[in-house]
Amino acid sequence: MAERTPVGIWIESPRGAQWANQGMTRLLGFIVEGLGAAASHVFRIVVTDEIRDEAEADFAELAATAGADFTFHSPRDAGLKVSHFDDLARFANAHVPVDAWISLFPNQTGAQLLDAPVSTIFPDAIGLAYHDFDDGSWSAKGPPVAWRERVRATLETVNNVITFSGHVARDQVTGFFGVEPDRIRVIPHAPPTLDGILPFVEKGMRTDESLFRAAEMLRRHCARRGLTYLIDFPFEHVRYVAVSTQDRVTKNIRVVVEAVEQLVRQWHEHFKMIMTAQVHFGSNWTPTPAAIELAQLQFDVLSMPDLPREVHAAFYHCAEVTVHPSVFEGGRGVFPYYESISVGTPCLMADGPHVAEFMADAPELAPFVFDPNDARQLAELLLDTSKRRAEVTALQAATYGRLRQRSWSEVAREYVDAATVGVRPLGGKNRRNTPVKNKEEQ
Amino acid sequence: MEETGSIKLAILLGDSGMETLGRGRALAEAALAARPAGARVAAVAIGLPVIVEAQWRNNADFLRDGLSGVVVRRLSWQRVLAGNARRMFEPLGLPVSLQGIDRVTLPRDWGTNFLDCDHWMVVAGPDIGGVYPARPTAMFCDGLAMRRHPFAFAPAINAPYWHDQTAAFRLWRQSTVAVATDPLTAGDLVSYAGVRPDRVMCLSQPLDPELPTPPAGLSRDPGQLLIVVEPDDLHGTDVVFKALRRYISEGGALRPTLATEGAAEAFGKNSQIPQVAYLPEAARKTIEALPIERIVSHQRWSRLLARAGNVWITRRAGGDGALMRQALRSGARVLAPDTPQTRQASALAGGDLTLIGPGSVDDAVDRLHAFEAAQATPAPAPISHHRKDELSREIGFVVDRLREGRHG
Repeated sequence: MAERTPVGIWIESPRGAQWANQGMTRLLGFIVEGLGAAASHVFRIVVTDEIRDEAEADFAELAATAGADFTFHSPRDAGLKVSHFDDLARFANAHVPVDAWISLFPNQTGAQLLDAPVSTIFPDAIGLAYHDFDDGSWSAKGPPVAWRERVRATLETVNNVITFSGHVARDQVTGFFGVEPDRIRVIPHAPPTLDGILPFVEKGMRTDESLFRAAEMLRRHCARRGLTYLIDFPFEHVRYVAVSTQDRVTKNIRVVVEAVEQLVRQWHEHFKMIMTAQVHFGSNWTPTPAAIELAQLQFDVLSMPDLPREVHAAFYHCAEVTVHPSVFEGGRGVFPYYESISVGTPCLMADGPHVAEFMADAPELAPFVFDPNDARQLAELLLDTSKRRAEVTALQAATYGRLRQRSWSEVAREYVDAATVGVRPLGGKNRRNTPVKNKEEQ
Repeated sequence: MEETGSIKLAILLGDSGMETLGRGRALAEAALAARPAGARVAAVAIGLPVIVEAQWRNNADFLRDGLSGVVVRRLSWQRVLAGNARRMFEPLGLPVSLQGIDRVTLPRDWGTNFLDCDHWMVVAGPDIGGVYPARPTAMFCDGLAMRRHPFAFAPAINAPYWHDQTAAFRLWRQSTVAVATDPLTAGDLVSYAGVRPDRVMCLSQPLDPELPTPPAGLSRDPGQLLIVVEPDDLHGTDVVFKALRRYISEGGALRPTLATEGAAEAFGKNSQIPQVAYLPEAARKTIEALPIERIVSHQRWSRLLARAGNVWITRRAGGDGALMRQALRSGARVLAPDTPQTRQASALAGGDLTLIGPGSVDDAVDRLHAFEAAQATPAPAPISHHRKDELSREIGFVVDRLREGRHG
């Protein structure tokens, strides 16, 4: 059997950070699983000692083989204690031999010190494109300013820049940092799916039995979490809009709140919205809590945060319709669309660069795209989709069947190619500049 | 052979307002005439909250007048710790979940506390909190207006009212059945209160009492506009009074009279109620100058309707439209907000109804002028009462459900 090519994964977890099976660590998990089939490469994942156990425990759950598809490395393996990411890089250079590195984020400045060729993932530059108006944010040393400075520096020692979409490549990597397009590799994710997570749901079909069982899961979850109003709630009989997202500056949840208000208060329709985002009443970095509070919509706009994976699938399954109101996503397309339709619930999506790009692949979904600032249009679309739910579900499911052909094996192959083909060492002992320090380091 | 038995029913009223009293009276009458499977309702104990003793006695007279088998008891709704209620009723072995609920509500009559009754029919909103269903219980809901007009019920999301509502809804879900009299409320019971659809019944007939016959000799005044209004958001006072001011200033000929269940001072110049106190000066002065009638009893209401040529019902949500139906049946012309409940209520009552789009002063003024212009046409004749036999039949079904859900 041919020896596998080692590719390093560079992760700088600030002290106190959690591994959390979501976001980029979830992506890494998918890629590791995709890598397994080809058996051509092994990922050598370098982390801090602090996060090591949590990370290993999480990856033990993957459909991948520890030791063959991936290995974990941290300074304790060499009897070292390090307190800076610079030291972590020195440990990696000395003890983790790899042909090339993939850095998980473009602002990980320790990557500048790695000897082998480095390519970096560039998920997005939301902070630069969607400004925070807080006094501290754009001060001379504010977070986006510092982030931009670090990214600018690390990009000098990086070979390829990997984005998940063409619009991030064009508008942000080239647009903000002037990286030449031939250094950018656009590698879209494979469509996510919740297929198979709910054993009582077959091919996304909703039945009375599947709805009841999914609703029971939701009720149990609410009882465990002490969500008093939702204990005993008949989720399977109530039309609700599912919104699965964190509440961040680009997520635009408010438009769904306003649409539900329109439906319930003006049109006397029976509708609710349940979101996975935590609602922080009193926050000023998001308009969502105030929209709920000012209208006293707290019983028709509800939050069910931190859903375990199978409960999350049940949450989608019982919903009348899913809405993804975000004005920007770094990926190509709308992940909640894939997740939702995979368990039988159609999805409406707000227009934005990610959706515009998605429409090139799936123009038949254009009728389900709404203006992110038009709550009334969304309300009308919700009502119409609800009336034609079976028809819309069938249409969206057909698209899903076509688009899901792309696999994580293909994605993993593209990642290792981006990291290893035609690259050269630019950082570490080969660097020609003074590395920028990461102030968030250990 | 079917089991036969006599049933003692408790009808527990959440408040002593006109509409609640009317519903209680209609329910008692229908229950006594009902023929549930294999049983008959032999006695009804009505629990009526006490506000003022003299008023309580008048209301009790109204509730039992002409009905044999009805007694009226003084009722006090009391909040007890949830754990205490659980221990009180432990022998019943009820599978009631009280997770997350601090206190539950129990009816007190300083005697058996209605536990001598076989079943409870509770005619109340969620404001009284979660009624512990110590007997198989039917919750009669006349609308969940707080879903669409929350500020008429609570000033903010952290108001105690919402805690009571959550407790109420949790226990409604665990009651035998929840009963609505219109489809919008039936839908709200599922979507808002979270009651399972198989526990919701929607009656086809409203719980309207027969109004007392007004004294002979009263003549209808075609120029009078009786405005039934309370000084709160639920009645859209802002729009109503601004429209009224405009209508009068534009030469409107109808002569408005306010009719209210509350205190007349609420509309006077010393009113501290925000919905009145913060009206524009001109509108406020208009209101202060209007005659005010108090709706203190069904007798009084019947007399007011007999005299009024025109009635403007201003309530925008909740209530099941009883006052509007009674006004329509009296033969008055009626103005009312255009809502699903109003449309449903008018379909049941017939009569001469003009709908006003909720929320628009311009629309209200236009409608008032058009309404006035229609005075040339003959006033409609009074309409006979709704189908009481159908209501009794449906209440019989409710009793059947309660008997199926009996404890033990």
